[in-house]
Amino acid sequence: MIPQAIKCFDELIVLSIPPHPYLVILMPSTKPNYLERESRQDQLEVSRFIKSLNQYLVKNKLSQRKGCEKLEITIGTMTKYLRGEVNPFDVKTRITRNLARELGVTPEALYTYFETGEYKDSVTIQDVESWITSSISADDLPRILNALSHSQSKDQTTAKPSKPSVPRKPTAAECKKTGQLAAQHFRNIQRAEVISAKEAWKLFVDSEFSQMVETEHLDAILDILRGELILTLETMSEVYLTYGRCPVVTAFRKISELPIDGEFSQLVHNAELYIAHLAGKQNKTFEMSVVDV
Amino acid sequence: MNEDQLKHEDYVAYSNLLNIQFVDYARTEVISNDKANARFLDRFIEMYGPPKGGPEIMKKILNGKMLLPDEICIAVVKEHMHCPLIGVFKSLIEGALNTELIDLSNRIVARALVT
Repeated sequence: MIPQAIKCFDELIVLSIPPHPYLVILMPSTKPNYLERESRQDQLEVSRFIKSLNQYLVKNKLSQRKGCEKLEITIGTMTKYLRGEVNPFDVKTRITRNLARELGVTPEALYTYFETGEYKDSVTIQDVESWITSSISADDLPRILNALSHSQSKDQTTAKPSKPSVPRKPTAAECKKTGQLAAQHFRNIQRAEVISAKEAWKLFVDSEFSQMVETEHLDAILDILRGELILTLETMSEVYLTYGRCPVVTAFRKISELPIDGEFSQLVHNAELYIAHLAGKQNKTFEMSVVDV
Repeated sequence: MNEDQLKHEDYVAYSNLLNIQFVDYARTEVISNDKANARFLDRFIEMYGPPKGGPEIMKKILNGKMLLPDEICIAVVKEHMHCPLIGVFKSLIEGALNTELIDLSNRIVARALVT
């Protein structure tokens, strides 16, 4: 018993007072002892757990009952958590993982938050940079761009609850303008390379990637470049998703070093962001063009 | 067969094939339809003089916005013994024309001559 009780006290004074030669007086310590420190840390962890649960419910505009479904817990368990009856480190890993997923952080970052009050995990910016340069695939790009876009919009609207970021759908007028600027860029290439329209088109068609493009699509591209067809989002989506990238920008880059910039590159970039989002939803791959935005 | 009268479907099919050939010409030259039309008209005038019915009607026919009018078709074929539109296409385009167009043109000329 005594060793257990001693844990609560820092100082132990042994007095020999007859007739009790072994009377032990335990003096409470002035500095926080182990149990107190542990108790304080426990309280902090519990309070951070409650905060993270509230953050999850508020962010997703969920009632406690609805919130339970995504975390795969009962309403009774949720009540216990919100009353502060459970330390987050005693919660099943599956539940913590669900909560982390709903908060958009890693489980490790969430555990660190319970411990320190800050969302941190062991992944460094160098790790991310290194992974992007070495292992990134075309499938990952739309998700990364979406995450970046989400992160930017979160920074800009900190007061508002964050929503999943969906790239803006280009308007019909923007698509039409994109087609017109593509035709203009095609004419600029002819001037820059001092070639005729026929020669430029031959280079376009003969370029490696264009050889994979069906005649029907090449005709549509040519009609847009001739100014005879208005570019629509439907046409763009169909062509982009069929070939996994923009065949026009790809061919332009092959036949000339003339930079794709200004309004044209901005419109291409916006349309590609949206189509990359569509590709992600349809489990298709789409590689965005590198343009100067 | 040559004694058959020209029917509405013949003009529809012929106008459609003329439009396809015209767009194909514009695409081959990588020029707009307007520019192709200007080149076509210049060559037409050079070879046959001003088109019957006027340049606007010819433009509409080539662009697929109007059917070839039967009275113009018959009159022009009887005058030249062939369709001048085909003559202009032959002089503008290197290589063979659409075989379907040539077949139908031959049939139309044959029927127009006996009308």
